[in-house]
Amino acid sequence: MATAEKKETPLKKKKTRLFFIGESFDAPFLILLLVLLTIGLACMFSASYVNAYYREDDSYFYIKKQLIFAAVGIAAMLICSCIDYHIWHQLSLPILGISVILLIVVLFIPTSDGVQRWIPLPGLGNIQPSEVAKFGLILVFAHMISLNHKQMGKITKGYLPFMAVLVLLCLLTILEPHLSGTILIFAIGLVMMFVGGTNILLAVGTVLLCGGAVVFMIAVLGYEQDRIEVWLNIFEVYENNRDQAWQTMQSLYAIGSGGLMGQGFGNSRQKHLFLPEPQNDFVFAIVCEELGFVGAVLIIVLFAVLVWRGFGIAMHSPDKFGFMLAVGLSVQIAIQVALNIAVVTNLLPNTGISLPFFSYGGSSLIMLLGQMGILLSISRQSTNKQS
Amino acid sequence: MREPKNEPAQSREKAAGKRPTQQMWRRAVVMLVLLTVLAFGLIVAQLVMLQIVQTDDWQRRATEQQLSDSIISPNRGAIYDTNMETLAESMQVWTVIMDPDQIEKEEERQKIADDLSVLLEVDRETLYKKASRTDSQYEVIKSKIERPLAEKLNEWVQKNEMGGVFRLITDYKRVYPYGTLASSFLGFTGADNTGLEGLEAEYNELLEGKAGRIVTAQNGWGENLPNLLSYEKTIDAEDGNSLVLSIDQTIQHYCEKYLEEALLNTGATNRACAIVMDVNTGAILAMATKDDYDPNDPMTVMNKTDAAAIAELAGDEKSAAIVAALEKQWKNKAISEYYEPGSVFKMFTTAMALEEGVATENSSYYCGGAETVLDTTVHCHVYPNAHSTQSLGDAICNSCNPAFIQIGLSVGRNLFYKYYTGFGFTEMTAIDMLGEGSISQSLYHSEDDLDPVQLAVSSMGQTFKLTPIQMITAISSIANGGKLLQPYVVKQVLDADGNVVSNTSTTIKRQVISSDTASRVSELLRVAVESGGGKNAYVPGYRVAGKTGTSEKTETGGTNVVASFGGFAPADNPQIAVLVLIDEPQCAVRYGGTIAAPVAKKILQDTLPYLGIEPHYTQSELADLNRSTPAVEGLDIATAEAMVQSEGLTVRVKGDGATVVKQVPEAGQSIPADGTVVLYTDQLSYESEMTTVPDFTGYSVSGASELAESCGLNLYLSGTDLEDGGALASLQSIAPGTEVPLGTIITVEFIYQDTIE
Repeated sequence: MATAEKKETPLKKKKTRLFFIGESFDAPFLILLLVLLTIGLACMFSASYVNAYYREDDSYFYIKKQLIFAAVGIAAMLICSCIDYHIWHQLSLPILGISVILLIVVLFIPTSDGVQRWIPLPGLGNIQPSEVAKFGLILVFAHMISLNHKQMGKITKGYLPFMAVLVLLCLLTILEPHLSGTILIFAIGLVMMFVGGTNILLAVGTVLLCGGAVVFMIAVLGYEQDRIEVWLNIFEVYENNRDQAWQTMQSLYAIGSGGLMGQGFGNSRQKHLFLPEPQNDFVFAIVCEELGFVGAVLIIVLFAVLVWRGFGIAMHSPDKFGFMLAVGLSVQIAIQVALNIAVVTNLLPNTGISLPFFSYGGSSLIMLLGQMGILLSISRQSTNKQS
Repeated sequence: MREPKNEPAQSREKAAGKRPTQQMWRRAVVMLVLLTVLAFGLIVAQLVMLQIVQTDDWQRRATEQQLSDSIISPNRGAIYDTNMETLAESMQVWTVIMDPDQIEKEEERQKIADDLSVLLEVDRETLYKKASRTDSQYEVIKSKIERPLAEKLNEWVQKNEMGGVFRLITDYKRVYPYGTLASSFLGFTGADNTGLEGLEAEYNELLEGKAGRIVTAQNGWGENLPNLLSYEKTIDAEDGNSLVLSIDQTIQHYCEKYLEEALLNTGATNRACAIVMDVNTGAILAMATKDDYDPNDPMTVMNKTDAAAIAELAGDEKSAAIVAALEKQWKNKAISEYYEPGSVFKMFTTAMALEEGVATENSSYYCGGAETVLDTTVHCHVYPNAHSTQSLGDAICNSCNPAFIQIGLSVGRNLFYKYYTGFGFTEMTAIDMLGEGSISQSLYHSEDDLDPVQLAVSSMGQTFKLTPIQMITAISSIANGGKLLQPYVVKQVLDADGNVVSNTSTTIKRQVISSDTASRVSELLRVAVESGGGKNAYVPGYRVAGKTGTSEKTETGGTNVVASFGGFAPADNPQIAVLVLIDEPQCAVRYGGTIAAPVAKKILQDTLPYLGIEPHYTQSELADLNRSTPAVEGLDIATAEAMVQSEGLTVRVKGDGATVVKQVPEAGQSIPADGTVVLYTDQLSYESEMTTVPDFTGYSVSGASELAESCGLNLYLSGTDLEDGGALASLQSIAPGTEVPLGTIITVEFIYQDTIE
């Protein structure tokens, strides 16, 4: 980090505008985003109202809140889209600092089940430090890569400092414990390093090393055996220890019984208290049940197009910082979508990864939309338009 | 996205320092492809698997949990006798369930314990404890209560406003209204209403019906979905079919009554059985085994000896003894157990000899007290006495062993085996009952096995075994003109609404002997009952034909016997066959003729008139039928009664006096053997107890007898045509409408129907 601070001096010469609305942003990206958000809100409502009715005495309990979050999020997005994204250069280290503080603070918040992932903010709901850390990571890596790009191939410049940040954040996250958050942070970090120019052997080696470590922890040290057992032998576990495999199995029931065309929007049976918390991480299972294979693939394609468009914004960004920022934010969406759907379809063991724009959750939706605002802000300075 | 080389050169140059490098571009594209094509492709592939390839399987699994399926139990069909008397039926009963969670106050709990312990006859403390389990929602208070009690309970629940606490679950209970009657073939059902023994098991599929279902959509908590989304489908239960048997519970009752009597008199240790069969159709009219059991409570050992023995045992021995005793009492002896028929079989040896012409009514046979075949000597049962020279008829009357050895040898091995098979002794009868004993080669001699010695003893009915049902089926074939029938017990199957599903028709397996031979054998058997060893089965007016048998049970090593009588009536127009079998009697005289024949007689005596078969009396029978009334006027009432009863007559006493002042009929009058003498002890009752003479015209003999008895009159039969049967009353000695004292003799003349018309 010392390296990064030293390199800040030349940037200060350049004038950073607070607002930049001189050019219009990437409208197709915004439209895609709003379409996905609309579909996501509708599906979340459909998936949640039975649960809301029985558990909260109000069918609209989740959707009402989510609509408010979405409105706040869109406001945040519009604001961020008008802010010159270069401001995040200066804010990247402070935000990383705040992330680290929050990650440490959250460890001291007493909870009933020993899982410490949220910091309650009176009146505002909960804030998830790992969400903030993810954002901080993207900012800092974009910042570091844009300053260091010529020496990215060197282990001392392009690998070790990044790994130091990454390991710190991952360690703090895993202490919560928050496995899925850790995986996300690690994956986003590695992808950004790779794209930013880290030696390919080091990047691949790190992936192999971590993969090996994970296999070692599971196979030899016996970590997370329950989840692994459900993943590998779901039918057997479901027979013998129903509760343990319940959520995943109910998710598969929902997806499988959707068939090609689905049961029709609103007609899920699995949301009738079979699939636990259908508004959260498993919302996509209900989507599959109601809209079928056709609907599910359509949504996946929309996400893919959104990610492509995000990469497009990156490629037309005027500088490396914008490029890396856009790549990081797009990669984040792609990884989250892939991991979430892989979990609900039992391709991967069950970890708590939410589906962007679909899963219920205030702080993550607001942050996500705000980050999309940053992408829009980058698109305003597209080299494509300057030509 | 545009390729970088498309950009204007000057802007590229200007921005070259800040712009992302080529390497960044390439690596970004690699990541983009990896993430959106490879990773997204993988999840889409998984969706193809789940939603297209395996979707049927997942849908089936999901439906299983999303739909709740409750069973509607069908009502099990009833079993009726031939006159639609109910022998077995299912009754709706209820199980009382309490939800203690719903009881709010202690006083309610006390009230429940106080009132319901009395109403439902359960222990108060236990009930109170159950009511105190407030964490429970399901406590069984009493199961299988019947309708009146259920209604009382409902009233109480309504009155005390405890609808939320109690509920009744419908169930069915199998009921056999006649108790032990016919249990040996009815069988019984288990707790789940499945037939376990007898007809209940044999016809279980027909009787039990098909369970229905109510399918309802439910949520993960097992509740029905709200109205808008609700889904309910009812598949009605199909109630079971009912069986109408050929069994007549009245005849069944006769058989069981007299078998029980015989068991008491003979002390038989291996039970007794009797079968009554319609010889022309193969329908079983009655089939009884004693001891039996109560199908309402099949797990109780009924045999007192067995029960006493079990009471003295303990542990495993006890349970084994109980199982053995239960299995014994459930077994339908009449179709399941094998026995050596002994001399009853001689009727078939006779039949085959007559059919093949190797013997005639005029053949004569010499009995020297024993007969030697090859090296083996067989004694006659009168040995050291002998029957000396006899006709075929005499040989049957005498049940002479040497005569039948000679007859059997003259029939020869091949023909003997042919008829042995012909009469059905090498096959099961295929009666529609559970547990007919299977017939294997070990029970009888094969044709090759029948050397002269085996043939000789086989001709007497020994050294082979058969089942009672085989025997009565073969006897019926002699009675019905030579046709071997398939016996049956279910004559009709009705559906739940009473519509006929199927009728059983008579199945003729084959003609075994000619009808001419059959009637010749019948006549010989009639004589055997009239004046031979079977005379204890003689029923006046009904011409019983039959043969007795006493076979030693050599295989048990002891000296036990099976005493039996097999026969049919009336000999000239056979209607029913009867077989009585008493296994291991322990009395002094154990011959079939002395202990089995009287049982058959009593069964026939009751059954034949009950079936409306008219008696045909011979003149000598008629003479025997009448009694002379004794003179008892002036005697004290006790002496008078004894005197009348000693003549075999019935007594009726009218008035409160101590001496007989008047008797009707008067002394020295001839009245029927079953007549009644009315004794008056005061003049007043003699003058007041009058009866009106009915019109007998057109009545049959039995109808007239009944009518006379109901009016308190004594009937004197007259008429020359009585012998022929079918005679109807034409003239009566006292005009209809006349007032006469009770007990007055009325003479009614019977004339054969044709002469009237």
